[in-house]
Amino acid sequence: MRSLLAELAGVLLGSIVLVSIALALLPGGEGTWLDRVLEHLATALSLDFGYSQVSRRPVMDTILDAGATSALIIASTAALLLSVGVPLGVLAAQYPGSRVISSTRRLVDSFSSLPVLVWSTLIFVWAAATLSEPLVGTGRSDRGVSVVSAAVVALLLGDRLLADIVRRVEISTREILAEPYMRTVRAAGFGVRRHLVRSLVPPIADLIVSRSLFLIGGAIVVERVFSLPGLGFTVVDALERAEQDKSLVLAAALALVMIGLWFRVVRYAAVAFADPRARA
Amino acid sequence: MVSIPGAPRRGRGSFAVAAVLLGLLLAATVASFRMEEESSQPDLRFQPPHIGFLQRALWQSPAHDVEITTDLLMNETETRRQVFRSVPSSTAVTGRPYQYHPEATLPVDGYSLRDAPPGLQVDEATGQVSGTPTLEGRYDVVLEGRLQSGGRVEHRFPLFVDQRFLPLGTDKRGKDVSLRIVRAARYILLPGLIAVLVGVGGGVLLGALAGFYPGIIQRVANGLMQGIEAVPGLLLLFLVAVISGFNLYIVMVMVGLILLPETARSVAERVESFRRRDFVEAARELGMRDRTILWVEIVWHNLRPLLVARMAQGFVFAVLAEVTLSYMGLGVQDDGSLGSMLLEGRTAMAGARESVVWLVLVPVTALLLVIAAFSLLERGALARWERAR
Repeated sequence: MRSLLAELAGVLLGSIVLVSIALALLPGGEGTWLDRVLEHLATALSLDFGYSQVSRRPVMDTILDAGATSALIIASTAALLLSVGVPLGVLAAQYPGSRVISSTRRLVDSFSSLPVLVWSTLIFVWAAATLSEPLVGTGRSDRGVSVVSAAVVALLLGDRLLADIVRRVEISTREILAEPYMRTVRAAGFGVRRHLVRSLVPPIADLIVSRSLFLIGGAIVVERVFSLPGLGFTVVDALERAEQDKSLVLAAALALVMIGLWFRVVRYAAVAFADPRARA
Repeated sequence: MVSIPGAPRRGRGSFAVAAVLLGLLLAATVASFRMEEESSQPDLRFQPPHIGFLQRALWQSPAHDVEITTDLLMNETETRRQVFRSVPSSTAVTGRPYQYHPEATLPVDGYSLRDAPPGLQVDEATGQVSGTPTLEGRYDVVLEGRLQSGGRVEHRFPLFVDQRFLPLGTDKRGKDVSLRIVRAARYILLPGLIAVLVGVGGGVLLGALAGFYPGIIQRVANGLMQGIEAVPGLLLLFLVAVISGFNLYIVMVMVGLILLPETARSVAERVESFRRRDFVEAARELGMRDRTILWVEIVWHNLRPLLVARMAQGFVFAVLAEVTLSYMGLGVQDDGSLGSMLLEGRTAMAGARESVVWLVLVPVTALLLVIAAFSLLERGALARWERAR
């Protein structure tokens, strides 16, 4: 627990310093470069981001709304990955000769070979050409995100990770089933599913954490393509303006880092729940 | 050992296809630096591809309509018929012959032609439009037929006449899309090379040292990697793009830094496993220095396929990063990048009256071919790695 807290604090402080330095390097602003860095550091540490000229609302309100949208997008993607990827990987390991499963896996692999940007643009073009109601957001944070938009975005964002999850679960399942303790479980007449699921938690959690930055980056892209009012949309919007809203960028960047940290916390909790050795 | 599901078994074919695609990319890159900027021709914008099958597949214009005069409209059965089965080509090149044979489903006594470009005539009996157009521009041609039943029928179609043969049509400024694709090559290979040099070169250096000398070097390398990985890479790229004034080469150094931790980690893992192998002990017994063992025996002799695979992945990442930044409006500030083309195509699709779907599909296809080239290279390298194991 102590090591986790130290890791989280280190990452958070490092991010604040890095983003503050980067923002101080942006053109404009008063005082020396060091003054600007210190000013951004003070803003980030006091959480007093002030009023946004871009969204014409307090920065914290904008970030809370946008953060909820981004969190919804990322959570839907994670839910899709776990609900489809894990069963498919386990089945692929248990029934390696099955044509249905191998075809499904091939389909997942081929979908994952397309980058998120290409997928998103093609879906956007298809939706614009065929659907009566366009599949896009309004870019306004007070409108929220529809369930259909969240589902489509999750599919777009998750397809690349889905192939990774299936592959990792398949390898891990085979390894776990070959372990001596699993043979003992079988010989004793117990079901293997409970032990298998618990043993799969650490590798899946590790994979999702290692790909969390990709997930966040992908969320930024799809938010922009579909004009969904998330954190990524907010950052790009604030940077694109002639009068760059640095406080808004700083707050949105920190919110994105916090989402990344949240993945680490969930991984820690999941591994502690599944593995008694980790709890000890 | 558990085999890797989906790992490639053979790589020779992948290498061959990758070599062809990369050769084309190299040729396009060389050509892109010799090309001059095209001037805008707004009158000839949104021309469909001149290649026949692409035009038929991608070009749908509401102007390809048949207008029937009031006389004929009185007979409802006939109005429901498609009077002309044929669809003319909507593009022509000045100085080259153009022909169109209309196929009418109703008996037509004679034809006349209106609003056609100079140089085109109609055969009054058969309706065949032919000739060599001499003046460029967009024309809304009307081919009028006098029906035996007494009515008249008008066959309207747009005709773009250009001095150039445009295999992939034109964009919203009348610029040749195929030339724009070639021009985009300058933002792929060289910037990607910078990212790969920083990401894979730095990653190998850091990873090899961290794997071979556990202790303080490993801890420093791990700290550095965690620092880079703390902030989402795309966010850092946005900031660096704005700070550098959208300087692509500086952005690519940042892309390399984002690539660095994963390369370093995978190299470190493998170097660490090789460090305990017998051949390393044997090399030490033979009096080889640690430096030679690390860089020659381990990295050069054993990790080459892995490095080629990482380089290919690095190129793909760099290309996608550049395209994404340009798509977001934070990339190179001219219209040469594939990302800018994608964004333009997307915007044009939302507002255009006619189908301009090729403006999205062409850059997407080009992007996929580039990714395929590097992915096949990676696949070939991984197959060689598997065989070597």
